[in-house]
Amino acid sequence: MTGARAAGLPGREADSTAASTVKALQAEGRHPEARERFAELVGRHQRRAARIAYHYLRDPADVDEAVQDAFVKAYSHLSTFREELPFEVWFTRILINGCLDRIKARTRRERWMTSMPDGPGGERDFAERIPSHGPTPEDDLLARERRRRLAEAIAKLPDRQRSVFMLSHYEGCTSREVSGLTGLNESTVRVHLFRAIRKLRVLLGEGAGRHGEK
Amino acid sequence: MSILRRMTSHLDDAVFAELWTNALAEGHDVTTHPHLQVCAECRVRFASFSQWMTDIRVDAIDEADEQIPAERLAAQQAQIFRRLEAAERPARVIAFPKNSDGAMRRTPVHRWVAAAAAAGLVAGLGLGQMFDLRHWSPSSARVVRSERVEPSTAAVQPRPAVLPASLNEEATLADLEAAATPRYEALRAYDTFTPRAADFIQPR
Repeated sequence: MTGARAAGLPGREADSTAASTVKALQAEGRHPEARERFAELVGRHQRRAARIAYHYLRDPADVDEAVQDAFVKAYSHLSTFREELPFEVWFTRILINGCLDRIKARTRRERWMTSMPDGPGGERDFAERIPSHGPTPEDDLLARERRRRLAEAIAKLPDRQRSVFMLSHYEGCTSREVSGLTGLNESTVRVHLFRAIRKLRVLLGEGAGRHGEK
Repeated sequence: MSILRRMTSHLDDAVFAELWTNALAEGHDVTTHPHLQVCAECRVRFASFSQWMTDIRVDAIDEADEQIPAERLAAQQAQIFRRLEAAERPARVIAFPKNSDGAMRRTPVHRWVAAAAAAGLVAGLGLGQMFDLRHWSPSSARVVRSERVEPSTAAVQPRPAVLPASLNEEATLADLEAAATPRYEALRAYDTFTPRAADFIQPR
């Protein structure tokens, strides 16, 4: 139904093998080979990591830094990685924690520092940071407008609901994986997901074609 | 909500959201829902709801991919490996201050020199407290001596702490005069025209 299921089990086994090999190579001090093997993991997860980071941060420069930091941290702490958890989940947790730290730091910075007003109203909101491009065709404009509204709606969700929604719906994680990523239990994940969907439906009301009980 | 009502009324967004959540979280087959099996209208609405959810996902992913294109990912990857390489390179320790080892290794001669310098400093400070040498000159020394010869006068008049101002006044004024007088003949005319401080003081 969703078509959003995560990369799949064969990928996970390959991840697990690669992670174990990198760990062993690091322990033997064969760093160039360890890096070479780690490149496999980077190649497999980078796109997904960039998407997740973008959904949180909504700024390509911040995404670059967050993804780099997450991979560097994963590589240097690979000795603490336990195989019972998929590498993907372990790594995503590092990434999400980094993104949340960045958002916190950004909020703190914006509280104390005045930035130049961006729009006519001068507000600079988390959801409003969608970079503008040059003149585009009408379809692009409409798509952009739709995305902007969606981003605004997502930004209005409470943190946990937002995380659960993004991981479940965008990344196709199961409630068990989301539970592993967020530290929430599975039933709580489901409740957050349900609430997030319902709230989005309300927030994006007109476009969503709401139907009440008849 | 009663069972009868549940069977007869159409499903609302909350139910759709619940169905969707269960399908997403646990892989439930939505089409087995009793109401959806009998109500064509709700099936259509649920299909529209599902489409809306899919559109949201597609939009979000498209946007992220648009903002982070393949070239950006390549640059990001290169940067990751640069950082990993740099982290593994042994750190260089720069000695500061330069030749600090030499400075730390002291010989007995260094110690004697340091001790002598410290003793000199202490002696200098002590002498400085005893004698005020700031205004010392041979002539003033004579004046001080002559004052000491006449203790009765000194007892009547308050003994000056330093030197009588009048003694130096003349010399200072002479110096000032010399500095203010132009040494070049060509400038003398300008000097004549230049008003003095005294010109602005009202005579009493």
